[in-house]
Amino acid sequence: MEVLLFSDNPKLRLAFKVRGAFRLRSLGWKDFQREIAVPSVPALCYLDLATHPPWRLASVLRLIRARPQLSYGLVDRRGQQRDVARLFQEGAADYVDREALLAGVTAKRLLRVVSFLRTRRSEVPVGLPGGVGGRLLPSGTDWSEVTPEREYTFCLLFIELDGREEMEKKYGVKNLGIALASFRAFLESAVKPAHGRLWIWTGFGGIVLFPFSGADCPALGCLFRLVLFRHLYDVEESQFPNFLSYRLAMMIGNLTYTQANVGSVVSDSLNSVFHLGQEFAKPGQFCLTDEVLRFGHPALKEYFLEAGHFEGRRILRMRMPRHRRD
Amino acid sequence: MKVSGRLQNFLAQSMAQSLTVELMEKLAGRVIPDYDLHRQSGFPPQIPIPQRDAAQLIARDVVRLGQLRRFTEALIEVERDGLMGRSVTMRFLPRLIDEIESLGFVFKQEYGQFVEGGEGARTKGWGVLQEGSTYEFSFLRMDIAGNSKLVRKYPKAEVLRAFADLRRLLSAIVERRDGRIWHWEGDGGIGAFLFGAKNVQAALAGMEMLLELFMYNLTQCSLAGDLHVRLAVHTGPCQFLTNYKDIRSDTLRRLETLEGQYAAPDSLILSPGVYSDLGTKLEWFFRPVAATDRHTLYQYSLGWE
Repeated sequence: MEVLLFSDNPKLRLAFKVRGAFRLRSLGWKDFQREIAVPSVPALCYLDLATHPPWRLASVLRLIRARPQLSYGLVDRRGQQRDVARLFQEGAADYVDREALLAGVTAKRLLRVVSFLRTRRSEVPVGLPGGVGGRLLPSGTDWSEVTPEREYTFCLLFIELDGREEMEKKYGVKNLGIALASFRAFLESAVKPAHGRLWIWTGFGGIVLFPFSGADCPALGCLFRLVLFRHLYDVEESQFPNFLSYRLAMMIGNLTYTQANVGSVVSDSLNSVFHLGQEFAKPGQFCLTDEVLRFGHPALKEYFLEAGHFEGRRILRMRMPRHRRD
Repeated sequence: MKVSGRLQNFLAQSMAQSLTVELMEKLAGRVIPDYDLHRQSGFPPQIPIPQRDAAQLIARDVVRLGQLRRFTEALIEVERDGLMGRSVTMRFLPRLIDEIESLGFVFKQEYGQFVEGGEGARTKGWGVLQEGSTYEFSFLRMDIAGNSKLVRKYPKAEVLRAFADLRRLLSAIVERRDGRIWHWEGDGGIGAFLFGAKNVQAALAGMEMLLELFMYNLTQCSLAGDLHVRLAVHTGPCQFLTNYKDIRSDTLRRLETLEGQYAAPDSLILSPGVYSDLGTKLEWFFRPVAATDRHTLYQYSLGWE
């Protein structure tokens, strides 16, 4: 893991006795925005409060919190912060005061910080449906560590085209088959950036599985785009003559991943996401459970509205983009 | 484009085994104005030219005058649609296309044309436009709103980085639709579209840019505030010159007026000529706005529930 120390005091890095899995980079405050703009790997940022204007701390923290790959600790050798508990409540992972600094920020301490981060993140999925007691069983950030016939926690997406009966009546079997095949290809390419895999195809939609690491949920951004850019697909690629409407439902849950006989899989999570999509979501809506939103990019939250409760879970729905304003 | 003797030979063989001399001459006339096979060959008008000789002669002239791609496009069209009511099967045509593509071009079925291919080989003229010639283009112009305010408010390096991000976004969106960025100057640029449904492509590129900008502001922008852009699309004739600053064009002047005077921040404005080409699905996204007593323009912008 990368440890980024932001300070204008060059001596401060001497207090970081980092080795093993950690790699320290000491940077000045002038580098801050550039470094965190596009973090390539998960990183733990230490912010030296003594060399940074206190009135700008809030905006620095806002930028860090907007990037799920980043965590942060505060170095407060002058004891500027009165309410340390509040720092942790607001998302800090470590607080290094003068004494801790004298003792040194060691690899052992950093391991404790990482362990703390894992615990804090894994608290959220407790109570997941379908799992063995709702345990978090991370499937990773991609499919490289997923083995068939084993249970994992995934982010599950239900998608289904609205107006199935009307389409079957109106289009004819051949035309409909071509249009549905093109929609399926579009869906597969749209979920690819977040490593989504179309797992079940029901003819007019299906289930997509996204690996879930337990740290964040890039699939949410992918689905947000699927809704926002929907009409471009409609105009440029869709083989359907009319505008398409589809329902989306998303949740985090456990299931045993299998490649063969997918239709015979028995899973509470699978049932729940089907129910959420078919019984709760209205045509054109994108509904999700609050766990998904909590792990998604923080900036997306304001685009979701309370939609009620379903099967004991809090559900939110995405605000609909309006592409035509009269 | 450097054409090998082998490729010229393929062309000659293809014609000799597929077309009559009369058809060959007619096709040559499509790319070389007033082409007269007898005059070129030296054969007296009353003596028929053997098929093989005619094919070799036309292949030589087509290559010499740099018209190989256009001539091959004509052959492809003839095979697809026939010629003078006759269906024609061109021999070696796939091989001929492969040979031209190996020179760095791609045949685009939808436009029936060869354009330059490969990721690193994008030129303003798609590798096929003639310097100084006039073509009918569709242009998309983007301007970053409040440029000078941004520079005053944020460190210059950060602002430049954000502008570079937008440039990358615009280039990707334009080039994905076979357009080309003709010009970029600090806080805005111009994309050109030439092939196929160029007005549709330019309008879609503008819409996508607004959506991408929304996502950029939401998840990537390192400035504390949002970036805003104004976009406009206009179509018309324009001379092609590699050096953009040398171009004098009423179409580009009108485009600048549309963008500067009528496009609100975070909106895309279309001229009537562009709008009339959109088709019913795409038209739906644009609402008419009265620009002057005589002119109606069409606007797209993103809103939220």
